[in-house]
Amino acid sequence: MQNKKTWKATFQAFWYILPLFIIIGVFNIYPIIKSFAMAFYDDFNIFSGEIGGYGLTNFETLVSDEEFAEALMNTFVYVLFVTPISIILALAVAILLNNIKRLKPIFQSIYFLPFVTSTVAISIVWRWLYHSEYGLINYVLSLFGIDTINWLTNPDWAMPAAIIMAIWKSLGFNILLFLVGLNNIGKTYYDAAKIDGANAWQRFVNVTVPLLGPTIFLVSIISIINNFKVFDEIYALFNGQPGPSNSTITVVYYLYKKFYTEFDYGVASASGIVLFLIIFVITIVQIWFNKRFVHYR
Amino acid sequence: MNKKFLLGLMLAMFVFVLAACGNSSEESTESEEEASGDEAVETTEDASEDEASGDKTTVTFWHAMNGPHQEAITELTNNFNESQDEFEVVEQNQGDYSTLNQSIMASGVSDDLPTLAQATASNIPDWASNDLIVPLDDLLAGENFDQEVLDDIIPGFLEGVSYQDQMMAVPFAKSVRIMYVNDDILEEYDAEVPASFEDIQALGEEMQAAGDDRFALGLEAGVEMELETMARQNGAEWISDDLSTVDIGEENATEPMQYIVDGIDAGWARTAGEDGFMSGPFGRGDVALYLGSSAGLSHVEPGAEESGISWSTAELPVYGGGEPLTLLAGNDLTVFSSATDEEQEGAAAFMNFLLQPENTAEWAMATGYVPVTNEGINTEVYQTYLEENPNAAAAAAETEYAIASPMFAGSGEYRDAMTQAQDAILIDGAEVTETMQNLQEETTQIIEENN
Repeated sequence: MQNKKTWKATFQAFWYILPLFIIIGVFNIYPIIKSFAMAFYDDFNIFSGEIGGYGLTNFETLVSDEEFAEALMNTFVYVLFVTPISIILALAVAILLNNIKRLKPIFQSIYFLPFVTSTVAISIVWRWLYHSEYGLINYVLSLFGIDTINWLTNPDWAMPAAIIMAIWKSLGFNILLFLVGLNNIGKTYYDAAKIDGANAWQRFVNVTVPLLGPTIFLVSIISIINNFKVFDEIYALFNGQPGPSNSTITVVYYLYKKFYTEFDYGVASASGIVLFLIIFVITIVQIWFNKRFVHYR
Repeated sequence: MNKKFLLGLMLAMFVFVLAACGNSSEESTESEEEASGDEAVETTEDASEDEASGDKTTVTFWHAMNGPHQEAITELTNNFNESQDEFEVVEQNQGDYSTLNQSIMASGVSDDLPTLAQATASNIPDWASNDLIVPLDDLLAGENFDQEVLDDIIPGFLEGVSYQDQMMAVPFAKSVRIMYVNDDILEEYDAEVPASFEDIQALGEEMQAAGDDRFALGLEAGVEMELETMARQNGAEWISDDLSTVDIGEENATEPMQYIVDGIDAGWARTAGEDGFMSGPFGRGDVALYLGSSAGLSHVEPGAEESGISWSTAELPVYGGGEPLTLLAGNDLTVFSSATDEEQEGAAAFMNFLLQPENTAEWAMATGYVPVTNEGINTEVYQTYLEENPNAAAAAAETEYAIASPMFAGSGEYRDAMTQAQDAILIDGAEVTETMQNLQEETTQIIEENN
């Protein structure tokens, strides 16, 4: 094994990554470049490949489209609720799971199930849970004297309905990552803290959270990126509609609609780029935050 | 410096890749149905490929039929292949309608289209204006399509496949709107099967007066089909065939919308809403009358059987004392321009086969669609079938006055605007006339821009 950085070694390494690079190139990189380009085409005919011209018309359409503003707004609301709540709940569950001795694998599997189940199947079940007449959720609420909530047909409740389902669905994966992180924290830190007289809460705040920093960072980056791309949950929960009265339209839903029902390929690509830039900027901020505040051992 | 640049590049790639992939499951609605459908395809596909031999011209046929519908199409295809030695049809299921459309869009770009495919009316203008599909007038006048079959197609169905005065498709899987009737509720109130929307309102008011919390009228989640039907019965043109007139915002059209709004507000009418399709609530016995597609018969049956209600079907009621009228839905067969002349001839032969009286009748019996030719309706097998299955009779009777909405480019956009207007009225409580007038303006603009 030679460790020197020579051109020859680089060239050899190139052969190893070539197969994967071809796959990524064909299925990811080329489409990305192409869709970037498409965002700047005017009057693009996708079948003949004719381009009417180049310019920023698609972005101008986006800026003046109220529906896009609504989609952006909804997406932000979704991310702002789903990400932190999901992370906090997942962390809590992971710590509880980590403390039980028996049956841990069983509980772990149960919590992980939603993650491996298809979103469509989950949505069908949740559609019943949310049903105004026959739904379990409204039944439970009625026991507390709360009036029926039209989760799926009232525009004010549609977004909360989607958010609750998304949090539940994302728990499993986050719990798994947190469990791995928790297992990596040496028992000696807790022993030392106990000797110093720290109670459970103090141990959590001063030992667990800082040492779990890298995991929390990883989970939050993945969650934010995934949540910005929300589409399946909305599409399936509201039966192929963006919620009652367009109330849960998200950026990806907007993109889908522009591309597949309105054949407005340029505007669809442009909205994709806007979403990419938003995710990119937020990720950079997160990385900066990570460097500044997260401790690595 | 260099390191930082590399780090930045890697970060960009990381975000790109994460942001770009992972949306794989988005197209799979009704996944169960599809999954079972797909399996079946593979076997038929293999089988037909093995058979395809020597000098036969292979004709590829893409469709979006699943479950029992798919079995029927497979059987018809096999029968066709056995019937002659010139062409070999290979049928391929592409999933559901939206997946089929996506496949066609993708293969249209990569020049890899099949010979023929199922198409809904909203696709045809777009495909035609991009020259993806060929006008069929000449092809059907050729040796592989019988003139009698062409002349025998139900006139309303033919109108529905013409675009800019050319025949762009052959009608195939056609459905109409019918009324599902809960006979138990009607008997309770000693009511006749309503012939008009006024009768339905009267029934609704009677049920309300009796303190009944069931609904007299149930509509699908989107009411645009019923609304257009009622408006046209009421004398509106809606969107005229030559696209010159749009009167969605005029009184003839706003009256029925107001009727629906009043019914929902009063509590005797409802839309499917959270139930997705009205077949569910109707099957549970929650509504007396359900206006829906004749192709929904197979969805109503199991639910109704489970809850034990007795039900039947009837022709659509009429609004405002006008003439009976129903709108056609479903899909047609289109032939792609990328196919060779021989393949196109094969497609013509196959379509000719599908429209033979026995075959269109058999197809209708297996699926709940209606036969597309008069001969097909009059075949002995189909008439016997109607006698044994009186629930299918309403749809067959309606073919006499079924009409098609005109096709135009931009209909996807129009439908989105329509849905938004309907939601604004039914959910947000927007004023009917004003909203419909805005919709009229928007529709006129969409038609002008795209046609």
